[in-house]
Amino acid sequence: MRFFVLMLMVPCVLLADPAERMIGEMGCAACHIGLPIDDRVKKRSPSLTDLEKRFSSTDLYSYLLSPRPSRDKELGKSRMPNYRFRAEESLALTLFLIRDDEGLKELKKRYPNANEKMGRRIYGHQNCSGCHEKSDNVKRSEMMAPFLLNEGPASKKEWLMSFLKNPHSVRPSGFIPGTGSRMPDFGLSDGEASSIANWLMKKKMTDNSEKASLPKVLSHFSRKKAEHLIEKRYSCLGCHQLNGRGGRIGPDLSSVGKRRTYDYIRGMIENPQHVAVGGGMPKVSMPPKNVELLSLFLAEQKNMKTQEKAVEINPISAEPVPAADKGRKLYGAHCASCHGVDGNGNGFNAQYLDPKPSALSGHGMSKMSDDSLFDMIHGGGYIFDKSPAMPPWGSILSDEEIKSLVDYLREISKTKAPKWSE
Amino acid sequence: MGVSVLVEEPLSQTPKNAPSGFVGSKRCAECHQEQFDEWEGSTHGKAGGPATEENVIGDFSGTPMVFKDALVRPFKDEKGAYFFELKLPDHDPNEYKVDYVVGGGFMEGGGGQSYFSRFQDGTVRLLPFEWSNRDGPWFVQTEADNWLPVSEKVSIFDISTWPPQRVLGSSLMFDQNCENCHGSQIELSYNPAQKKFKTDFTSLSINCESCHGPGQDHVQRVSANYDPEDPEIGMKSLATLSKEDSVKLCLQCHGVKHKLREDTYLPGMDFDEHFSMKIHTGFSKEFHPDGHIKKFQYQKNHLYSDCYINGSMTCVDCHDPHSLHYRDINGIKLIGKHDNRQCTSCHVAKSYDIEAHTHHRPQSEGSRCTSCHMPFLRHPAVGQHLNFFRSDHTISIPRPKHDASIGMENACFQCHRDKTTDQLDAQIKNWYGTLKPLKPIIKGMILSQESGGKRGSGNLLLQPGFPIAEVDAFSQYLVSHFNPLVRQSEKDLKKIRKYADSSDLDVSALGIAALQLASMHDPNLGEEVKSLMVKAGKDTSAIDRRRTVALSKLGEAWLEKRKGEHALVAFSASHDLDEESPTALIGLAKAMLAIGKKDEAPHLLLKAAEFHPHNSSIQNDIGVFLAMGGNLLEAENHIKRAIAIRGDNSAYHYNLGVALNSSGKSEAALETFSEAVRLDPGNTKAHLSLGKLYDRLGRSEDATVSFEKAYKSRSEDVYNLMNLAVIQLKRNRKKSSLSLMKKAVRLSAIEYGEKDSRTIDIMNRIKWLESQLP
Repeated sequence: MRFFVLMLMVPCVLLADPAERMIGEMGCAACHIGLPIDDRVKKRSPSLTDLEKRFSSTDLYSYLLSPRPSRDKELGKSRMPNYRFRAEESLALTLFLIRDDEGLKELKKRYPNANEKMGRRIYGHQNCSGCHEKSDNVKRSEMMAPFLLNEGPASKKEWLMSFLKNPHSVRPSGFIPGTGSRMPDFGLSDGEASSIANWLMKKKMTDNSEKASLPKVLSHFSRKKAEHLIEKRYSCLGCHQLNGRGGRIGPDLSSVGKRRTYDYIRGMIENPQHVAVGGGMPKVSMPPKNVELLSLFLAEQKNMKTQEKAVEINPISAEPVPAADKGRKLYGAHCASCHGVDGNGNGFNAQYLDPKPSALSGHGMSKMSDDSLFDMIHGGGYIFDKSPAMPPWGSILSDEEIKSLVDYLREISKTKAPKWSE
Repeated sequence: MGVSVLVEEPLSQTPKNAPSGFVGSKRCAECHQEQFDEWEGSTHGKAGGPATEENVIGDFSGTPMVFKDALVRPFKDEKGAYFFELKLPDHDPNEYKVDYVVGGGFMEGGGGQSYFSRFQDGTVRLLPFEWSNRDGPWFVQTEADNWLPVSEKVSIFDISTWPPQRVLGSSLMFDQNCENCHGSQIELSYNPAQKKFKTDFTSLSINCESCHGPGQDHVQRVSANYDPEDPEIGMKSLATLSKEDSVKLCLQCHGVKHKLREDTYLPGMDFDEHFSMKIHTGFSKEFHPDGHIKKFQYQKNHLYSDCYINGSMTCVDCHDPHSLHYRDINGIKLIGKHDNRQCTSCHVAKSYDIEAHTHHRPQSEGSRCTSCHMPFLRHPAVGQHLNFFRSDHTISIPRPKHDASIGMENACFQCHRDKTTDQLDAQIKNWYGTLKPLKPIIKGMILSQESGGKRGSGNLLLQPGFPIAEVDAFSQYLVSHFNPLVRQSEKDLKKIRKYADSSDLDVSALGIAALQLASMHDPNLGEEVKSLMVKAGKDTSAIDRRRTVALSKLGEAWLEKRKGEHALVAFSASHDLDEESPTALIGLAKAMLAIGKKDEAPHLLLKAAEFHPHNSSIQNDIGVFLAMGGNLLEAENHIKRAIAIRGDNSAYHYNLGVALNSSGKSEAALETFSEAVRLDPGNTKAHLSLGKLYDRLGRSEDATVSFEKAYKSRSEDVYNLMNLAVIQLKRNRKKSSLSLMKKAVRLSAIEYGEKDSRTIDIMNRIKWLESQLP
């Protein structure tokens, strides 16, 4: 019996779609969500810590300019793609990755604007950490690439093929304006490009959870665990309701399995900004296992009853604050629904939440440093042992936006940061 | 060929010697291969095992360790078995077989390996020659200088657990045990009929069931006829634990705990019923007020960290529980233990311009969060000789002056060793201005300590804070300021009531215990205690066990402060809660002795003895206190009972010798003391007593030998030197006596000071002796 099982297993592996395997191995899923993931990418990509032990600064600079020619010598079977960095960009990235030395003197004179900070931004927006390890303190851009499970109805195959073979900027300032993120050149052969294009054209969002390592039908135990994560760990119920509990900002999750496919749900959890670009939902970072568990759980939620009974919110009471200045506008868009227009904790959504959103005034606020306010807006309530319903906004608000929100909070709460934190 | 039939695999057999209900990690792997693989490569997976070539990292090539008075040769025989051969002068060589190893030298801050042997009495004991991966390489743990590399300066009898005394598993009969933590599901039991111990365990790695609990029920439920809709799968999801429970799960081994029950604890049992993490910490003063450890607490000081108190941070927010690799708060894998994202995944504001916060070049060591906030520190109990460091899990802010005041090595100083504390403090002030203030309860403890306990204790110590600090401050208040003999002030009572009502078991138990004591002068409080206990519901037993311990600890602390009357009240209260508690009964007897009611002590002790006939340690204690009260015959009986259980214990023999000697049975005492020194040639007290006894019997030759041995077993001891000098003088060996006295005076000057009466006394003797010599 064992013998037969073995015989059946082997062909399964061999017959895996070659395009799918290639997509996995090249690490496409590091930027585009919903694509096959292959752990080998991370294992194969060299760590970027202590690079100076392996590279001289000038070698690294020229490698970044044109990774292809030296790849056989330097990195074995590397698929390090070409980001078409300009000289200035290469220099900036080099300055960020490696200790500055004499070798770069001339280049630095030629490109006086290139500096470590610029390199750090490039590193974040091109998502270098999608493949490489580095303890970097870099905020990873969460919005660098489109969701590809809709290419069939959206793209023309000939163009897609040529684009894959020779990628070029479709949006000059990056997928999300201002990020400058670009699709790199993997140096694909005609055959490779065409097989990937074919795969993408055929691929659709399905309600199929075949790839899930968990059983397709969740056990009672797994469902309870998913419910716990949704209620106690992640901020889902701050905006969505599930079986009558939770906020009324986003769609009701009790029936999401009736409305949406598994792939869509998964995409929304993995990175909402890829699937619903520009929507209000921030990405909630979590390990892949939890993405899978929550997707499967939500795909099972097909309870239409709660939706039929759903109450519509009076449009007047839900009206955001008029856009006067930046902080006020952001507050109106992201905070006022729960914390109230004046920060009194009485936004329309507050009535559905337990614990209630804090009133942003008085003693509590004056005990918190500006950094703490920043961190809480960025990382959400859970990390401060407060209500997990407060979402982590860091993935859709820039640093400057969060800073202006902190200023605005100080203004409406009429508080100052504690003296020690200045 | 017929139809192939699927044969269901039989359940894997429970591993040999495993307590029932446990299946072992291999069985878990049959379904949870991925988790098993991650675990197998982790330091938990490789924590220990049989002494095989694969596991042993120490040098067993036969090169001996040279002690001052012994040679210990680690070697491997031709069959591949590992041994320590011990050679003492005037003794035949002795071989100890190494059966198991614990540790594999994995820890970056310094790690090592310990060796264990199965003893004939059924215990598995530590052979206290340990291997360090950083220096030594062989080292031993001594009492005086803590941990020391083996050298010719170290006596084998300085080792705190020589002869081997530290056992695998946990038993109140052994002072030194491995707290059930260096292995999985260790069960140490005593069979009174066979007079033997039994040590069972599943494995010496830290296996799946150490954290997840027993797996057999789970295996049965999900193997045959598994219904996915069944809400019970015989296993809990640890990912859904509360912050407190999650941390407690790890701390059950990564912190010192107090055992509340005598029977064995196995994973899956009610932890709070068996152990308390905090009830003892205030009384035994385990922490400095700011949460830094005083002795050896592994990572328990995390309970004092801001990330835990004001944040949601548990152990598993940085440490992946299976692989033990590092990860961030969102479960995303990180590079290693110095990866800043452990911190900056929450403290994002600090990460954008890291240099503005760290004032060190980005990517440099000084710019690592861990360098300043989690420096590697020596556990104070390890001493200064061996490099064993663990990172500071209080995650504190470097405060050079404050750190120096508690004797802690400051994080700044770890790199900037040329700077003084004042310079470092000034630099911090220059960079950061006013630092984040210490929490009020911590400030309160510090102020109270600084004022020697004189300043408004209730206001300083009874502040609302967070559980562990509340326990520590409240215990400090009880020991130093609470007087059970008078009525309590309404102001303090109000605060104590708040503690009693706390949701934390330890804080609440301490509060209720205090109310119980106060109720002596206020019967209404008695009613309050009753209603609080009704409110406790399912926690009643856990709180009662904690109250019992707290009251006994309080009694002991008061005895130490010579407050016999206070202690009596505390021990009675403890005894009221658990009439079998040996600590309470023995405590009561001690308190009776302390207040001069000698006659009250014996029946209390005998009662304790009756409840615990098979606990050698209790029998011995009872004997000692009976003897102190003058009941020598009864004392003899009980110490003999202790010896019947643990005949290998030299201290018991010594105690028996003292009892026999006091009742004038010189011959029997002589025999018993001889047995004590045979069992432990390092038992200085027994050598001394033997010497004195010989001296009294007029056998000055034998007396000299004994005093010499006493001297050798603890060379650096004024008392020993003087004993030897005196006996030499009696034998008219004046020169030898003089040189011993001179040595003693030098030592005394160092130890007690030149003007100390002891030093002066020896100097006078020397002068007198010198005048006698030509």
